Amino acid sequence: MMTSPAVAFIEQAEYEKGFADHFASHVAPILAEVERERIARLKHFVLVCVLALLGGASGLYFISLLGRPDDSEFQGKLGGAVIAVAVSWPVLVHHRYITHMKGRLLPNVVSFFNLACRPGDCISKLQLAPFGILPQHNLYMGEDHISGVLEGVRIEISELRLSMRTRSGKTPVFNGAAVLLEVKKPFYGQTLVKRDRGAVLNWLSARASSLDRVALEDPRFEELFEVYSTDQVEARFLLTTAFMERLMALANLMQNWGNDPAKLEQDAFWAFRVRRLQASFTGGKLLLMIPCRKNLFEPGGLFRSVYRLNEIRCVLYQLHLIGQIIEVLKLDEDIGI
Amino acid sequence: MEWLLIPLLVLAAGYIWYATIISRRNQVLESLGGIDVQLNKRHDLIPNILTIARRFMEHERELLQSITELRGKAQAGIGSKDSAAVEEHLKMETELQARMERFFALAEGYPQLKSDSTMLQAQRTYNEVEEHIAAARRFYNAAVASLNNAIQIFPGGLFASFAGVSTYPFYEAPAGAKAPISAADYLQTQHDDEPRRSVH
Repeated sequence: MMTSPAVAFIEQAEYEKGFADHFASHVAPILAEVERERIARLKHFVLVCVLALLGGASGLYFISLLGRPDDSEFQGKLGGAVIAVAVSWPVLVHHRYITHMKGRLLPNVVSFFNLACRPGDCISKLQLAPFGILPQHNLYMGEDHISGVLEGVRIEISELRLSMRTRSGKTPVFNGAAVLLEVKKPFYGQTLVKRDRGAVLNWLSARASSLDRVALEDPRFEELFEVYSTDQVEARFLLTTAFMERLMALANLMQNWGNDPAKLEQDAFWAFRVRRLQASFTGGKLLLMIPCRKNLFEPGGLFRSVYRLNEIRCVLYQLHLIGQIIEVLKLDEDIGI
Repeated sequence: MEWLLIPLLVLAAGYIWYATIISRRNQVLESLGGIDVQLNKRHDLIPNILTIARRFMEHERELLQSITELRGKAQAGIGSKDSAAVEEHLKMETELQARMERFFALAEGYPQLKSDSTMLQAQRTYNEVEEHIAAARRFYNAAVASLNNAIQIFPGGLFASFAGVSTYPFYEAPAGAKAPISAADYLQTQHDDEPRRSVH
């Protein structure tokens, strides 16, 4: 019978303070079981890969025996289908394990921040569409719906993957985090902060939009973003000079995350491409769409032991960064934005 | 017929410049309207605040009276379109704002007034209205900058005088707001025997 090694979380960064106790009470007790499941699933995955390879090769061989020379197109399509099944079977097995493992570990990790997590769920398209900053897409997928109160502000976070499916294939249009935040300043209209795409595209975008373009005083802000609103006065009420400074400070902060010499931070969280950050004030809330190159909130994988704890550190760091958004934008203070 | 092309282009450019000046002038008027909406809200709030304050601030009758009179004068200027009248109106509103700031500073010295729930609510609402006024002024300044650029860059002045449009003044902070604040002035008043503070 496999005995679990004694596992303790060593706090290394300031934002990890207190997590060692939380880890001991909430995460460590289930780690042994999760690791046993991982090993069993890994063995199953290897078996599936072998079977898929053998099955795929056999299938292609039989297809080559069946057909006549003038049936090459049909043979090609059939061969493609066999390869697709052979490849997708192990991928499906891998994906199912990741979903199951996240369901076990992630809620216990995020509860450290008094947040709840539903890994298989995400913020609905119906909730986000009115904000007006979702790129055009016909495929909406998401996961890791985290919600609660962080730094005194009601928050919902989801990882989103939006794509355009056409006849020629699937084109990703957005991969990243959608962060929905409570705003303490009352407002009634809609104000969009979109990324600056150059004079021509901005002009075309302004013509196509039903909102008025808002020209703000800060030239650095104007270089990074284009603002549209239903109300010129309300847009300036929300985007005070102080808030514009804070949004730019956030952009700079996130860019510097990638330059940190610690490999962990470079590897894990520099993917926030903040020049492409977009924001929308709608219905009393602020939505931030932050593109990311990597998958977020992944507390482990099929091929790495859960006892490594590196992935858990990554999740803590990601949530710490989102907390920094609230801190930098001062959304937790009642002075307003 | 090619000789017509250049005069036509000049005419077209002239018309576009003229139309730009008119549309920017209209945006300035729109922004003035936006400020007036917020100023009306402030004017509606002031009597409520003064009514609550009168119960507690009997010694400040002079200030309360001056605020009431200034509010009446400033309210008459709402809706001005002429640039000279707008400048005068903005000055009066700035003076009214300064008097209200002095009023709130003095109110700090009246503990009963400070803790009155209706006064607290009125003050929160007033602060929100002031933030909206600041936002409306920023919109006004942006619109004025755009209009003044179109007029002052040659040959904009020619089209502007033809259209009867003149430049508008920017909203500027009053001189008092730009003066450096000395903490010693405020700290000195804490040693007074009188329960209320005088703030100049």
